[in-house]
Amino acid sequence: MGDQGRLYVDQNVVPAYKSILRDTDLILPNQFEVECVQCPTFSQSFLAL
Amino acid sequence: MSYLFPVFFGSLTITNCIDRTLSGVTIQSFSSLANAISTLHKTYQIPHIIVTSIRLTPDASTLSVIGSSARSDKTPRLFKIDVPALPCFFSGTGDMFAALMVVRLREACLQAGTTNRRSWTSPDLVNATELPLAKATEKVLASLQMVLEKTLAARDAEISSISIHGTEMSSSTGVDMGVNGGSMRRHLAETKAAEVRLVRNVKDLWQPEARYQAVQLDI
Repeated sequence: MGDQGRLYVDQNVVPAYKSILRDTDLILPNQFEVECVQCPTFSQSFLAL
Repeated sequence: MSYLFPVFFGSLTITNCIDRTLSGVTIQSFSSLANAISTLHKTYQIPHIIVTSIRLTPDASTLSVIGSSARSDKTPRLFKIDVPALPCFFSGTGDMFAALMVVRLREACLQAGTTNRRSWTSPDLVNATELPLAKATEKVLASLQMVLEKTLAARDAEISSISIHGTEMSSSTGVDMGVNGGSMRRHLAETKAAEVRLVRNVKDLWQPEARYQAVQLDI
C-alpha cells in the first residue's frame, strides 16, 4: 500500500484492504502499513493534509 | 491457508507522514509495535503477522523484522530478527520477501506438523523462537540478505562503470548515456543497477546460510 511515509495506492484502497483482513492467514506489512491499518481515520487524515 | 495479503517490503525509517496530531498512532518503539501486532491478532483475527524493515532511527545500522503467531487466546508470541542495513534502496524486495515467506512457512509448518491445524497455527506451548513463522523468517532473511549483498556489489561496480564511461553505451544496462549524459538517463541507469539480481543468485534462495536467529521479544 505504501512505504516511507506515503501511499502508493489511492487512499480509498486502505479501507478496502482493511475490510479483507479478517480473511487472511498471514500478513507482511511494513511499518507504515501497520500504521495505516491502525489509524481509524486514516483516509480522512490524508484528505485533510 | 485461505488468503495471502502480500504487501511490499521496503526500507523504511520511523519518520512518517502520519502526524501525531492527526492520528496519534505513530510507532516509535518496539513496545508500540508490539501493541499494534496484538491488536491485529485480536481485532482482525489474523494468525500470523510479520512486520518488515523496522528502523527506529534514520541512522540505525540494523533493520529489524518482528513477527508473531497468535496463541489460541489471540495473544501474541513475538520474536525479532535483526539484519544489517545495506546502504541502498532496492527495488523488488517486497514481492520477493512475501513469495519466499509463503514457501518457507509451508515448509516449516510441514516439519512442525501443523498443516492439519486451522491456519497452520502452533499449539500454545510452542515458544516464539520455535514457531514455524520464526524459522521461516530466519531462512528468508538470510536468502534476501545474500542476494541483496551481491546486488549491491554489482550495482556499485555498474555505477562506477557509468561514471567512467558516461558518454558510451553501457554494455550491461543497455542504456545509452549520450554525449551529455543527462541526469534522467543516469538516474534510470542507477535505478536499473539497483534491481534485485535474483535469477543469477537463485542458489541463495534454495540454500541460504544459517545467518540469523530469532530472539524472543518481551514487551
